[in-house]
Amino acid sequence: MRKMRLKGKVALVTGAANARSIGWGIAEALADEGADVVVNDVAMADELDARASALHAKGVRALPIVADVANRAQVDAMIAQTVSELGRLDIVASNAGIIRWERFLDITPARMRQIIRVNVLGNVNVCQAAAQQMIAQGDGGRIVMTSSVQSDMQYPITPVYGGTKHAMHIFVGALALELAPYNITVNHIGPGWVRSALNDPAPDQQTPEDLEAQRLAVPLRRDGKISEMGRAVVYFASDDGAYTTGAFLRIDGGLGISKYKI
Amino acid sequence: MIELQGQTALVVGPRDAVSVAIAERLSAAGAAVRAAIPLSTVPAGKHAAGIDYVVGSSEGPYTTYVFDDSYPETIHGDMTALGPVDIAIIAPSWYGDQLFLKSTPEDWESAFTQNYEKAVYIAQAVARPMIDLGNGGRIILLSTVAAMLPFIQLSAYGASLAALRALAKMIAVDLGPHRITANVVAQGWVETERNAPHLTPEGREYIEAGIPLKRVGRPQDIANVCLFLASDLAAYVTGAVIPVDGGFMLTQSDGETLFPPGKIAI
Repeated sequence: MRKMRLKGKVALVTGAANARSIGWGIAEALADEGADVVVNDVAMADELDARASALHAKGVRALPIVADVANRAQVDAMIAQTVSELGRLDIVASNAGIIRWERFLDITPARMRQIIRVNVLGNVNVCQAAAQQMIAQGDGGRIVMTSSVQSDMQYPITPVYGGTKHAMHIFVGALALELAPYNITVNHIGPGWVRSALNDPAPDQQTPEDLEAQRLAVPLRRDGKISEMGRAVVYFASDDGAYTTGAFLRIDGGLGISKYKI
Repeated sequence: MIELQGQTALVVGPRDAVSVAIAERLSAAGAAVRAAIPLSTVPAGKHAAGIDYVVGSSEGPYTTYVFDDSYPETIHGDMTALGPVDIAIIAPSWYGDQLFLKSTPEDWESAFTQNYEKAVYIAQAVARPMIDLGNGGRIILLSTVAAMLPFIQLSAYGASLAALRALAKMIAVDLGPHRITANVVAQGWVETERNAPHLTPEGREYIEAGIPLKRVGRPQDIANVCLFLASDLAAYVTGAVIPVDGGFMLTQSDGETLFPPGKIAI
């Protein structure tokens, strides 16, 4: 039985339109604990509406907002709408991110720019706008970013994605230090192998043999569930996580201390 | 004595005390050294673009060029035109210190473009001839302790250089079979023009109190580690990060006290 640890809290989750996304796993987990949730994505308005309806069915308030996290004006408008319609903002799961697969010598400027735009600038915009709102509210807040097991473990065919995730330790750490005086905690979660929509095009996970090899490379011998990512965010967002900041939590079945399949 | 006789080295980055020290050190060890300064870091109006343009007089035994870093294509073109090298040392072009809440999207854009994306293009350009020639190679990325530990004033700078750790690991894994190594040198406090405003007598005393070796680093300290990594002595070192900081990271316990109080407003 859920303890409803987040009743009365308002949360924003970016990158949550796809029902097979970590963002949705996070949104559901927060709503299951009683939080009102804004679900955001760069497009997919119909999907966002469907996600919001599903959250309503859990008995919480929910709002779908389309916004490009790399566009500061859109992010500001999203925060403003959240506050206007739901009254406040307590929790942000800055989760939106993209991935591209290629080897180091094949990195192209265009693909690199795309990844940095969303994975770095998107996080900067969302966290800055959210922090400013939380500081104005004056009673703390919770920011949780979705990074990856690739914050530490470099995977050969995702060089730029891995680069942006390595950067997260410093980004999260610096924010945690700077926002601590305002009682805002900042942490990140490190999913490993999750069979989310994001990973569908992974070139090394297309055949049954590939998937089986990937499964065996994980110590706990399976892929992660988006609900498991969500419940880690609940920890950071709830009173249970009140004394945790600047931390990184791998939720990867042990992949980060094991070896990738090559 | 470390010998780099017969080796060619490229030192890429803004001209400063560290890049000069590295170029001189490798040159003194016998390498043929080319220093390549990104045009965007040259004071406006001071120099024309062009990779044959020699800055000032030829400084001792190494030659300095200014290259066009405006676009990936120009970076790639100019790096390739400089010819194959055995050793490439890549320094960041952007620095900024500001609180995250005062940083702008442009700060972050610049940090990642100048410090990470450009390093990727340069590394790609120098790696391809290394692979083709089959003699191995050394790629050394200059970074900072702020990419290893968080400092509130250095979130963009530190994050952009933290991404370089991933780049070094990437090159190490993919190009290891070609005997190409990639490593990172994480610099602490060093005597440079940029740090000079902090290094007043009181500022220096404040900073040195937090360094186990009780002194600010010298450009030669960085150059010496680069020389080691460029040499045969480091043949089995790859994907590593070597802090050259006098132990600074070990004692920095409060992110707000990085800079001496009162000197620079954040």
